[in-house]
Amino acid sequence: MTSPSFHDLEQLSAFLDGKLSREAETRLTTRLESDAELRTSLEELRQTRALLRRTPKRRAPRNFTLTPKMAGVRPPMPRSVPAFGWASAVAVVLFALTFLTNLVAPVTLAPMMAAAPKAVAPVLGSSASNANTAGAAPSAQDLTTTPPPALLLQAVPPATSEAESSTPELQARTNLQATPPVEAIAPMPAARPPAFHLSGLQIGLVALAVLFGLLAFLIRLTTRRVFFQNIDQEHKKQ
Amino acid sequence: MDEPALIRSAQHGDLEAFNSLVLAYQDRLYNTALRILGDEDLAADATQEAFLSAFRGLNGYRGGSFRAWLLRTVTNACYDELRRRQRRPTTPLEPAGENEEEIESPDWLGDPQASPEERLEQAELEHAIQHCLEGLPADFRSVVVLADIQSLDYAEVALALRKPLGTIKSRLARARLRMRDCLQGFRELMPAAFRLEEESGA
Repeated sequence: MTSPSFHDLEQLSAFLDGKLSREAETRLTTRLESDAELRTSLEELRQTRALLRRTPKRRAPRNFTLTPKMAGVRPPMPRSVPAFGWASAVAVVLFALTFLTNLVAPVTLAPMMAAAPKAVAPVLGSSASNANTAGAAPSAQDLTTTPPPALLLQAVPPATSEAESSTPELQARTNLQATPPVEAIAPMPAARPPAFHLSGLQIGLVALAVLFGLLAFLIRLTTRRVFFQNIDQEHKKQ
Repeated sequence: MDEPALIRSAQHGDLEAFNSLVLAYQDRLYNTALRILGDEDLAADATQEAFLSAFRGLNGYRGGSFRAWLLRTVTNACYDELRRRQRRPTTPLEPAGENEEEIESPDWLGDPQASPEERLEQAELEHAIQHCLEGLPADFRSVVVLADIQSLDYAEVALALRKPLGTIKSRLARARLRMRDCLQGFRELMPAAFRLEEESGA
């Protein structure tokens, strides 16, 4: 009689669960009749299994049911949400279109402005001389009459090119006109408004886009909140 | 509604049907996680994670034992947790169980309707089994928990752990032998439990 090998113990474990083939079971039963140590091992394994089966069962500390939020379920949204969303998007597109036409407009106006440099030049001259004589920023009147830098930049080069081929008096005037105005006007914030200048239509479109977007967001938020609050209440009732 | 119908509805996204299955299986999954992890909070987290994972992967269930399929999700969640624990070991929150005071902690008491003696015996038994389970390698522990504590058939254990039947049979035998050796050390602590087994075995 020797102590059982691991193979024997493995057979005993399967025998306990009725998982041996009929042939193997018959062989093991015959051995068990004559081998006391094998019987002891079988009994110990049986006791161990019985103890494990008696392991106290715990109740789950809480319910593990899933909420729609956990499961990734989306609440049904009212139709107004996509409608407001689209309206906001359309307002943004329209705004962008009006902005694009504003950008294109100076190009189409350029030839007209180039055709009248002389009309602009005296104004530039007066503002420049004011700047030089006063040694300070031009008066409010000058600022209102001074064209925007975009127009200045278009207007100045033809004036200087004309000045090169004219009299010294004119050249002296253009020296005053050509360089100082840009330097004098450039640092002044009031002299570069075109990028921020919005028409009434553009302001309206922006307001609509923001309003519709905000409405869509608020309705979505409220719907989600109400939906999940109802679910939570049902969950608590259960 | 019967289980197959609930499963079919849940597979079509019916959360209410799935939650009925959750209520039916939550104790089983929680107990499995508790025995594998040995920590109530971690077991609860693993159970929740398992149900969430089961809902997301429910279309992957193609018939067979549903409880084995569900237990696979919870053992996977437990293995993930054990791997995390290996990366950053923490001090266990539950009593490690080397002295009497810890064993008598109310956290370890089972059935509240049992007499004080029975409750104490249950607590001692639970403590001894949990202590011995934690001494097993994770692969052996999950086999013995599923086969002997959850009473799954070999084929179900093989399905739950995705291992061949031969591996399950061998691991179960090894796990039982190690549990036997370990539990013998607790014989003094739970004489009533052993006496019952000795009587029934005689």
